[in-house]
Amino acid sequence: MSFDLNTRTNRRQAIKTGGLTVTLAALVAACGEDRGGDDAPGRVGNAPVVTTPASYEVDDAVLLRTASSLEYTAIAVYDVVRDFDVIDSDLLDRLIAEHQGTADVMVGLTEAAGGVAWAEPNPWFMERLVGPLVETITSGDRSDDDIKADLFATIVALENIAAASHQELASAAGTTDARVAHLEAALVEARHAATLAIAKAGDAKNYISPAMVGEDVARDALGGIPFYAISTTFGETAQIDLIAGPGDENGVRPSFALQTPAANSLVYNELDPGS
Amino acid sequence: MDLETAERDVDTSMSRRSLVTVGGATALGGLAAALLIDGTAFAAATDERPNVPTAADALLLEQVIGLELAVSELYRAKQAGTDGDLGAAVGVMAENHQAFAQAISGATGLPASAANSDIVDANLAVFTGSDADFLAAAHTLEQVAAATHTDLIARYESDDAITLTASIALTEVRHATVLADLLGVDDLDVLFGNNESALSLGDDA
Repeated sequence: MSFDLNTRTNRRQAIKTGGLTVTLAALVAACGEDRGGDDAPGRVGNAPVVTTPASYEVDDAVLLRTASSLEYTAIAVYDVVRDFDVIDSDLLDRLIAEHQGTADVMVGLTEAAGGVAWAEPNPWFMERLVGPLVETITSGDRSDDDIKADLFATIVALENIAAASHQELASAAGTTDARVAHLEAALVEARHAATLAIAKAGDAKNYISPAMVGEDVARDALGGIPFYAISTTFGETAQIDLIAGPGDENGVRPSFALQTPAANSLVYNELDPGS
Repeated sequence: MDLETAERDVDTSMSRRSLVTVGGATALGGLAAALLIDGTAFAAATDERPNVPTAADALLLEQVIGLELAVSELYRAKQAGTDGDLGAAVGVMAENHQAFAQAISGATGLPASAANSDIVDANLAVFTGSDADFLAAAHTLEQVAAATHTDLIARYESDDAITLTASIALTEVRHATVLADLLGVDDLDVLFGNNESALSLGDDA
């Protein structure tokens, strides 16, 4: 093919070029709206205007309300677990009682800090994590064994993230009483997590993560990430990825991220119970 | 010296490319802001606290180094000639306690070189005895260490000492749980509780 740069523009080329010009002009016009005076970064398309969230104070009462909300969240999950006969009822009752005990301590400290006690689950975690997670696990045509395995993995993950949350809160607490209470809660929940990880593995005895001795961590029979009693040298506060629920048409199972409380999941003093 | 945050120079005549670039930067900036929010969300309650260990913290942490090195040394003594699940667990626990001492050393500048000889001498015979005796003694020692950290966390003045202590104690109770399971314990009071007392560190410092 040869090119002649001196060829005159024919009718077809003119239409092509004209169409492209109109398209670009429309795009530039759409991007360029409200350009005068607004110092916010440019926006593309018709997305709604961003609302700046209110800035609420984070004090000891907020941290303690968040702590008690996590305990009630754990109790809510164990109430679901009870219906599926996942773990021994004595163990289940003990776990619930210990979370209730920790919640009571946090409620008492909240009131001592001048805050309003929070005695219900964390609304953000329930709406964004627990609700979708439980629905996914129990939905579809799944065997009881698969549902139980996922719920067991859920409670191990939950105890691990609860321990991590209290570990962080121990560092953040402004009073000595709260600091010690958070550490004691973290230690109890780390014991729960380790005990459940060992029990879940059965004969395999998941004591030490292979990663701690430089080996690969193999997925479990359902493709999930196994839990170990000891998986790091120091107590970790990183996100926990939980794979649970039925696979899609390609066999890929949903993944849920469990994270310690942050700005979006704190129970601020402005939040009323039952809201 | 005051450090001021640089203000972004607003360009009102953006090209398409700069729009895309700024969009990407905004997304990254948003992520960074979210991370900062996460980091500072909890900071309000602890603004007055020093970050690095104080002199009073260092006095206590020096003794904690001795405790952690002593426990590590005891596990090392058991590790020789031990294999299988128990050998693997003992090896990791020895490494972990040594890492605890080194982390404290890093935070304080104190040397991590001297194990508490009283703790080693009091436990060496039982640690190198039968597996059952070792497991019981090691479980007790991990529980004592966790109780000691819980006691000390109320006394520390700095962020680093508090944060480090919490992360160490969490692993020590996991050690205790593994040791209890290896011992065949299924009593939930033992698995979830701790009746051991804290060591009296720092009382004569």
